[in-house]
Amino acid sequence: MIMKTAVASMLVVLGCGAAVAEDLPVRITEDIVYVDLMTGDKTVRIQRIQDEENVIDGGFAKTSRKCPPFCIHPMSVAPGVETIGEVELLEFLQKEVQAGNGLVIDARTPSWYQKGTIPGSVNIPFTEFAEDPQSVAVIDLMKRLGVVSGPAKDSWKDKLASWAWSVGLASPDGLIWDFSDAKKLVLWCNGPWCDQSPRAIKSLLALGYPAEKIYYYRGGMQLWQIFGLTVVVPEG
Amino acid sequence: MQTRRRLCTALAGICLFLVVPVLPAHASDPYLDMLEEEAQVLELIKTAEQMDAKAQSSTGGISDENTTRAMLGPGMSTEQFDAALKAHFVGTYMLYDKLSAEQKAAVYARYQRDGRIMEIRRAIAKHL
Repeated sequence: MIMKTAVASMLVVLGCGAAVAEDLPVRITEDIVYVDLMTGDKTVRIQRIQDEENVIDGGFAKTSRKCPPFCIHPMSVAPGVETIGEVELLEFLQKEVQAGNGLVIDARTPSWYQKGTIPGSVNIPFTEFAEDPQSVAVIDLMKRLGVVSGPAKDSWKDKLASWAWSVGLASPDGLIWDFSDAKKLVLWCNGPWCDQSPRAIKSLLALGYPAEKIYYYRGGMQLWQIFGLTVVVPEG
Repeated sequence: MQTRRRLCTALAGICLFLVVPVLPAHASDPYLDMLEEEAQVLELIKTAEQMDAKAQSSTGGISDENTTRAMLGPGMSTEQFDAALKAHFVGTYMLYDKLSAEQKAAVYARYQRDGRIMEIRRAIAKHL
């Protein structure tokens, strides 16, 4: 399973106080100048490129790709899943990720992730969510998302199976997921034309992940770059 | 002879039966194939851009920014197009030079429709 963590532990600080001192002309919002993410012993500052003449180039300047498969996605990816923008994503990093209640998932394949990612994201390619739900890989992945697995616990047979499962005597046949401590997730990919995060979201919903705990950042890397926001290249 | 052929066919069938389930589920996903192709094209374009920028800065030529935004003037013959690439965009030319005559003709046709260097790089990368 390919799963890379861009951040181990994170502290997010809004750079409101520094706004006056630094007086940057291109702010994120009127009130937010930058957001600092503490990742271990390193700080990553998310801010916009200050060169007002800057334009994007490379792959994310491209307007047209073959559709299908690179078609424009609707604003809503699935019922109950909220679509968010850049400001909400930064707020999510500050509140949910800082508190350990949330994860921002770069759902792209590693070849895209390696080119650059949104600070604070972890790379879980969309293909990982579509594996066999009873595979060890998916069980490990769900643990990472705060989801506990085990057999049903309604009848005495289930309780016995649950005990057998907990001590490693039973196979995970018929296991169910307990989403009560599941983390809130933001999933994103290359932009509104990208199907990677929508696929990941649909796979999560198929596993039973609560829709209200999933957020879709539809703008993805393309909109992130159009706004000149900080991109980090993963180490290693 | 026929028995041996039947045996070989049966063995091939068994091998296929054994191998197919081992392949990753997404091995034949055309969406993944196109994603990877697109990622590779972007990587090649980036390489060409970096090589062009390096060459330009060492010769005191056009800036990094312009190696992205630059255009090749319209109406060039294939020979002039080759020469212009070689003279102004060394990195792009190095990739272009690896193409077959047929592929070069396709890149030239692309240039005739759109002379932006970024589009020419993309056309080259698609053939590599």
